[in-house]
Amino acid sequence: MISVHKRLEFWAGLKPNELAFVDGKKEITFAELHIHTLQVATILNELGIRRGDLVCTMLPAYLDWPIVLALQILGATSFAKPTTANFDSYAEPRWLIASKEHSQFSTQNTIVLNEKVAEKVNDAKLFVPEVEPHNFTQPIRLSSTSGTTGESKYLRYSAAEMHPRLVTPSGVNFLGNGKFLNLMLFGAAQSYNWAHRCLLEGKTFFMSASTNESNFEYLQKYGIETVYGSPQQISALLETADKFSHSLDEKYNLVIGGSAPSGKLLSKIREKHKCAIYNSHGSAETGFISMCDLTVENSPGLIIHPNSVVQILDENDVEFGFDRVGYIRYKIPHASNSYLNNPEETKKSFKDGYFYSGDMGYKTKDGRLHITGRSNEVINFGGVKINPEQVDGLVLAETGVQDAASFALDDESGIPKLAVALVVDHEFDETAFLSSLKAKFTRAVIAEIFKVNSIPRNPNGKILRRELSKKFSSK
Amino acid sequence: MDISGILNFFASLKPDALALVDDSSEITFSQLDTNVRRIAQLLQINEIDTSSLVCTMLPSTLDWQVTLALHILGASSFSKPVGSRLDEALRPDWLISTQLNPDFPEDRTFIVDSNFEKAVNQTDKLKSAPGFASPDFPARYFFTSGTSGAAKYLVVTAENLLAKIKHQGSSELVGDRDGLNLWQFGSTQSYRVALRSLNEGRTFYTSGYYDYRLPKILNKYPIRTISGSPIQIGSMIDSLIQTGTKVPRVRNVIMGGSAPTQLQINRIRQHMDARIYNSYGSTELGFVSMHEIVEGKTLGGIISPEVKLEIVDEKNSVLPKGEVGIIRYAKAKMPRSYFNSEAATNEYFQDDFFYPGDLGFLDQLGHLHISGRTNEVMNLGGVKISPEKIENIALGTPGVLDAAAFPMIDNKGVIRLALAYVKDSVFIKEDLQARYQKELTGINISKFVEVEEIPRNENGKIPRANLAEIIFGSGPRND
Repeated sequence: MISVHKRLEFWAGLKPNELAFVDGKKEITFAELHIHTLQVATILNELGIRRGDLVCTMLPAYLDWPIVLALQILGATSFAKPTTANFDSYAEPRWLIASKEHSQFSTQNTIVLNEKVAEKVNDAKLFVPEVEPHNFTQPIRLSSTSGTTGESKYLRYSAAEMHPRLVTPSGVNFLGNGKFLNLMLFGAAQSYNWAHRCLLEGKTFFMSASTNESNFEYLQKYGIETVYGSPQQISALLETADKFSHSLDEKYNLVIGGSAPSGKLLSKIREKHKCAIYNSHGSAETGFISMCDLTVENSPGLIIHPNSVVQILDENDVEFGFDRVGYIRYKIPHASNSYLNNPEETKKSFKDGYFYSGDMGYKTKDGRLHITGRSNEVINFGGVKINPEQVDGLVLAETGVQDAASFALDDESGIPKLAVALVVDHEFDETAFLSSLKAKFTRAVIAEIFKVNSIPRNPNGKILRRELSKKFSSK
Repeated sequence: MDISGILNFFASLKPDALALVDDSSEITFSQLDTNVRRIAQLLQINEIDTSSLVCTMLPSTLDWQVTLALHILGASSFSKPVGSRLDEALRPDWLISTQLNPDFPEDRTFIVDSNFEKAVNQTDKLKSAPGFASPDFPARYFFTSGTSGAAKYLVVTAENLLAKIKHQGSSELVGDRDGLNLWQFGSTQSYRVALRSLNEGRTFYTSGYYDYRLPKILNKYPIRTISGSPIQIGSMIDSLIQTGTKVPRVRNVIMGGSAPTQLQINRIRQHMDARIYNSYGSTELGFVSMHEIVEGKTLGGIISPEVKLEIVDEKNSVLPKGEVGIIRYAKAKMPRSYFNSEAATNEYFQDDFFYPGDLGFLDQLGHLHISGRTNEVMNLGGVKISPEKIENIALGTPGVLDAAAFPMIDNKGVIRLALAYVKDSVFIKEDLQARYQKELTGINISKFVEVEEIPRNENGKIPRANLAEIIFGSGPRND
């Protein structure tokens, strides 16, 4: 194991002027990253940040990355949140480093990155890190993970725990020349791990927080052939492509992660772009698990990476044979085994070395995995169990439906009924819609339709069904 | 490491993507998976199993497929260049080669020819791949001529094969992930890059030829980085000149094995617009240091953060910066011995360090400069030869009275091997040349030069480093 400043020093020595980090228009070379990180460390140390402190950052990626590295050098633990996010009791930071003050956080312990601080950093001496051997077992990072429940949970890593993940290739590494543009939030576990992997290997980490036209420029400029994002991010990127008449040809790969892309999104891509389409599947808890090629229709399922063990279980943890839908659990070497300060959720999700992802699915004889939905969203209509994702799929195929989410809505007696929220266009005809669905789907009746402007989703693209239930139950 | 699983994963995920490209073939992941399983089945039918030690002498793409087949069967293996001699240090149970080997029984040799290929194509795929028996199973042996010039082998366990691919080698430190490897397949560099490429689902590009085929590969595929020894890179430049090829896409040239001469660097600059790097390392421990060669500057190698390197005197006391001494280095996970060679182990692995036999110093920045060798071993682009071994062949030839092997720089800047000899009346030059061809496979003597007397210093030592200048005068030579 090698400390992060030693790595920075090596790349800055070997190829000072090559790009280490690109965030939209901001480019950072290895030499700049090396010097800047050590200067930031000096200032943060002067401001009082010490070994073991928990520090939250709310910053754009190009500012966040050197700070996160500096915090690691100082022996502090970092975690990132979006600027608008609130704090919770599972991870209470001692410090906040942000572009502006946060209403919920003490001003005294907030470091606002303004021009004055920037000047100080530029004038600062280079921090001299502690002499090796370095302590690799102290925590360096918290990653938040939010299931469909919307509740934040945190995973905590030391450098020693993270290292095996960094040296194991995954998803986007398997495609093209290995260069990829990451559209995911920088604070997400994946982004953070990839940035570290790039630093480990001396490659450029490319990311973009927007889905605007400049992304197409970046692909050209840097020779990137792979783009990674959630279904929403990819969808937004493609809308931009439409608007500016860009088309992604055969040499490009779109990798969709976070959640499985809808059939609608896939046909939209296939219609206008010749690029390859992949779905990469895994979790913040374990990392990469499986992947499949969705370039053409009728994918035979996710291909499980040989590092992963995937099982399909019944409610009593007894493993099912092939082709039976059950609860998915999986394990890989070096996965997390608990949530920070949350024994209850830990107990639910981690058992016998496996992670219970909350997904339902089945395996076929050829070893492929099919994910059919979420176990905690399965709606029980008096014994009839309905998987809302299956309903979504049927509804999305109807004329005039742009986006859809099914959810459970309790009636006055607390009995759940099936409702759908729809984003529709002018072609939509409610009567035709209902009768068509009635014919296609006989297991339950769609009791209510709500037309909405957009479907609420979390940053990973997962539909927030509970939010819909809550919103419409009061109406 | 589950090689069978990895093969299957990429054959399923991206069946039509290229897994392997060389001068004559393109092999997709799907083909690679099928070929490897068929070869494995055929070898299994022919009694190769986890107890077998197999030597392969094959062109690189074939070698890689057979090697993977041996891996999934769980056999031990090592590769040598086609036509090599087998030495006593490591005797295999089986040989898989394009031709019979004079050192090895015919009935234990698989000849890879069109019949073999036919048999492979008619064989079913291996049903279940046993893989290596245990993590400490001796999965792979690597030949090295390092340090002394004598043949030695390093043994890598199944567990350490996996550890090997987690580290980058010099060829992956700069540029993108699509690089062309000119190293021979049996070398650790090439093997590691091939295995790492497989693990990441990337194409492994290699070439064993330096004629029109090499520029073709460079133009056809998105190769940005080329790595090889100074001799190999020199031959590549020859092929570019001969075919009038320009390679504007190539951004980086990495040379390892030995340091390139200034003349070689100039030739590269004349024909390519690429950054030039020199890397330093060993078969024993892998990558150690690397630096860019910048005109007008003498830069030292940036030492890998994974490596602990010291310059010591003969009593193993660490010397201050700037002082030339013996180089020794260590890594967290490193081999500690040569296979079956206690004497060499004791000499080159001491006090948890590896002693590569190089002299050098660290500058004020802590960067490494190589000054020479601790013994007289000559380094010809990574192939290390003991001059005594060369001279003994000459001295055993009738009519040779005295001989000296020495390095000379040819007019392309490549370090070549020359032999000066003193003859008497019974000497026949053809006999001497024939003897070298027979007894020295893989090493070519570029120039035989007849002299009146071999120069020696007051201690009786031959001044090999200066011999070319003494004999030919200054300046580069061509044969």
